[in-house]
Amino acid sequence: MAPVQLVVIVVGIPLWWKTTETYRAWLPFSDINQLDILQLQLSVDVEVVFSRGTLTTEQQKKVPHNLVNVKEHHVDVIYVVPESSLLLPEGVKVYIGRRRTALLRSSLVKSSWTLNEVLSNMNPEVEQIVGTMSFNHQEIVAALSDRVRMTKVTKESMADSMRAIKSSPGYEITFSLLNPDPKSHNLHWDIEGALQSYIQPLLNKLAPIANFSVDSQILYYAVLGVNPRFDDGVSGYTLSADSLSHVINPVEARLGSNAASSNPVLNFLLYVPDAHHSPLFIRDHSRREVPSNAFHSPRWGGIMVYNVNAMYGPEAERPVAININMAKVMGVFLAQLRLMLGVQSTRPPVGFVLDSPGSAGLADWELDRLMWSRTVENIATASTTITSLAQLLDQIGNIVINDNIAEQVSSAVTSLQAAVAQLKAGNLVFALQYSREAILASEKAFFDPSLLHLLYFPDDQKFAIYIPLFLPMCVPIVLSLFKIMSEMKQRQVDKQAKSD
Amino acid sequence: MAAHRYSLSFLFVFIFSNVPLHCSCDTLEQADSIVETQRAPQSNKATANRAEFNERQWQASDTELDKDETTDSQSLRGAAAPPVFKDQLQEELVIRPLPSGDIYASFQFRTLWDVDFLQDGHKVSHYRLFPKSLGQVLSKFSVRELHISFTQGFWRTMQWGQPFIPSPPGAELWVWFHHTVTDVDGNWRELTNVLSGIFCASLNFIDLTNTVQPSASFKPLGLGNAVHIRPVCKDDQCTGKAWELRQTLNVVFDLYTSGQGKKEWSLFKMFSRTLTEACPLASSSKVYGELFELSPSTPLLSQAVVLGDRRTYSVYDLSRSETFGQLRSLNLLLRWKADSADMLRPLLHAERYVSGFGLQIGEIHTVIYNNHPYRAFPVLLMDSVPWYLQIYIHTLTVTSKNRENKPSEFSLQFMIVHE
Repeated sequence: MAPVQLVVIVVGIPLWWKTTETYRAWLPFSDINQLDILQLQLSVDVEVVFSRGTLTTEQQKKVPHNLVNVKEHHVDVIYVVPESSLLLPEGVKVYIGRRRTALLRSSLVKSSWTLNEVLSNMNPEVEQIVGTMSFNHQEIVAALSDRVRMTKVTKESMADSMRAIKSSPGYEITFSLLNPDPKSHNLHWDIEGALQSYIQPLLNKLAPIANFSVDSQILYYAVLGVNPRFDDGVSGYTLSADSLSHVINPVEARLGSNAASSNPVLNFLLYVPDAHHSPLFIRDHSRREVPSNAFHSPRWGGIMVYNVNAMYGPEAERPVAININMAKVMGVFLAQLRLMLGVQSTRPPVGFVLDSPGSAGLADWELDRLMWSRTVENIATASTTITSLAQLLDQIGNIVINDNIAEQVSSAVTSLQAAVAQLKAGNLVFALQYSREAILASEKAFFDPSLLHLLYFPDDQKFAIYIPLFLPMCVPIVLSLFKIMSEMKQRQVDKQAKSD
Repeated sequence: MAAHRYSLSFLFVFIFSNVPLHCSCDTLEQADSIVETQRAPQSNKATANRAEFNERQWQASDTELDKDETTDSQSLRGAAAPPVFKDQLQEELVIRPLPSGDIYASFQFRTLWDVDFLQDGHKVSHYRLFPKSLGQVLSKFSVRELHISFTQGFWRTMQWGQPFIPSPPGAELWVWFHHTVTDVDGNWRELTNVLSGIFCASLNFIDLTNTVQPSASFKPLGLGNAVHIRPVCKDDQCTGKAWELRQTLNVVFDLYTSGQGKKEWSLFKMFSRTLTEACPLASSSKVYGELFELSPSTPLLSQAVVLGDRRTYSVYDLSRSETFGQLRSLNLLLRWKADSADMLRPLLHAERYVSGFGLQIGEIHTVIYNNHPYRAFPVLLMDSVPWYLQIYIHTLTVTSKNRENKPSEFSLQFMIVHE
């Protein structure tokens, strides 16, 4: 055989094929397909402790005597107290404490019942308690609203899920003081101290969920976009609820977002009306005055109007030095911050009494609820991202898959699988951690710019490049191949003729 | 009487440690349009969500939290002792006639803040007069000094003299990074992109192909340098560092209507408004007029040395109410003094022209003039040549007074042509 054709066919073609291939690292497609049919199983540990007087002696013997030991993962403990107990006030069936404990007033227990019957009788109430303290079906479906068709979600949980800001590894919280009239008011706010005492404890408690960065600024000559109308009834100016949507727009351009980071921002504004439009009140939809004089916008932040006209008389020298009462202001902002971050405003069932959230502003079980819904949301988002990325890469053969992308995808898949497993086992903290890792890895892989390198390289261009190079070269080669084949045929025919 | 505004030199110079100031005082021309902070990206998302969520988007916040935390609030209420602020703002306006008959108005807003952005472990989070957007950029990129200027038009040095702060047409950005920065190129690229977002200017097209890193010529104007402008010290003894933001706006007006008798201008003619008050946030607010017959006249005079020349200014202090007189407004009338024609002739002046064409006979000439009567100056010339202009280094010749001269120091730096 002629050496040229040999070289071309044996060496040339494979070499050309290999060198013009797009580099595609291996991806775990089978695992990703499994993620598509995501099945989550959430479990929470509950410990029910029967106190003296709730069970008969026979029933007591059947109860396993385990000491309440604090395991690593979260356990909700329910103490069952006798019906006549004075721990709970009249008419109150359940009291939910600050730290994952609850008191349940036991209903009538027949002494003839076995232990199992007693427990099954208590089941509905225990379920209600656990539903309040950890998660219930509505909330989980609302958290999965990105992936799941929202058919059977109640309006309340929809509202809650739309108000809370989307899950993200970090948040920026900005407090801004708006002073439209520095000629009359010389405002001073001790924001640093207030943040330390009111907001920081809450953020410290929420540390497992996300990183928070807080800052503050003062904006001068910032006017609201709406002219408030004077109302004789309250001898002040009012902002109606309909005009509130237009209030924020001119201010927002000046708020600025943190150029240094890409985390979502929550803005809290404190507006002190100018001397000519003081005092300023907010009316809600039913024309009633809002006692806190504040309103908030879903996934954006809140604004509070602080009237200072009562603090000085008309003869005071302008500008008047005013110290803002940070306790009042921070109380409002703290409540708004809780709502923004997704701490559900629970409407507990009838007969339930909830303890106040305490100094940190957040009860332990509220944190649990947030962690459950966050974990589920993270898992849903990460799996959506990964499956759509895998589909994309599968369909378009042109995209280069670098090693680092394959690494990110694999690590996202393993983190997701670990998160799902931890949820099943009931380890909330680990599940949240894994879900955060999964989100970070999947976003990194999805938005990597190296995926776009050869994307827009149509096949026609390839032909346009190859034909002028290869066609002239291939013509003599192909012709000589034909010649070789016809020679071989001729030889065959000759051989046949000879052997005849 | 038509008043033409020379749209020539609108010079925005943000000298860093300058922070753009939001003091858009009603009195002077609105300086707000200068700075456009970056729109928060959440705004689009929020509006979309608001549209979906039809009823009751705006919810009144009910606070049900305990009021026990309000016990310590009493200490904050009541008559307040004036708090000590660590930042202050000074504003001034200098009006000067130019020899060609135009008026040069230069606004300058200085914000001084006693804080250290680059200190580790102590993150600066609370801003008052200093803008938050710039402060955060400073700390993230470990910037030691930053100058940014936007110029529309061309400053005619030979006819107008030297400006207070020279800047070329277009946009120019100088940055000095802290010595802890290891990857300067990456930092620079990110910084230009962030600044182009903040100022809505296409600074992100400043990439490695038109950036230079000067090794000898540019020196920071800030702390510790004795050659130029005032060092930024916290106090007279220079016990610590403070940050200074200087925003300047330079405008040249062509208000001269020829043949109408004396040249006269007024604040109202230039800016269509008069001064009624000083900015309440500023600790000092002054207007300086030079070489004019000014009315209302002021007893205050100040002398300053500007670019080597001693000049006398009439000062109007806006923080004192007497300045505004009975009408509560100050409309400066400026009359040209016919005899005072001493121009600030620039001492050093450079020109550049092209001769010939093509790669063989094309030439670029840079001419530097020294107008000083008797002194000789050492000159350091930094030239940035773009990659598409292929010049031959061996053809560089330096001549002075028609004699061949050799530069005492010559260094070349090649930058990346394409990425």
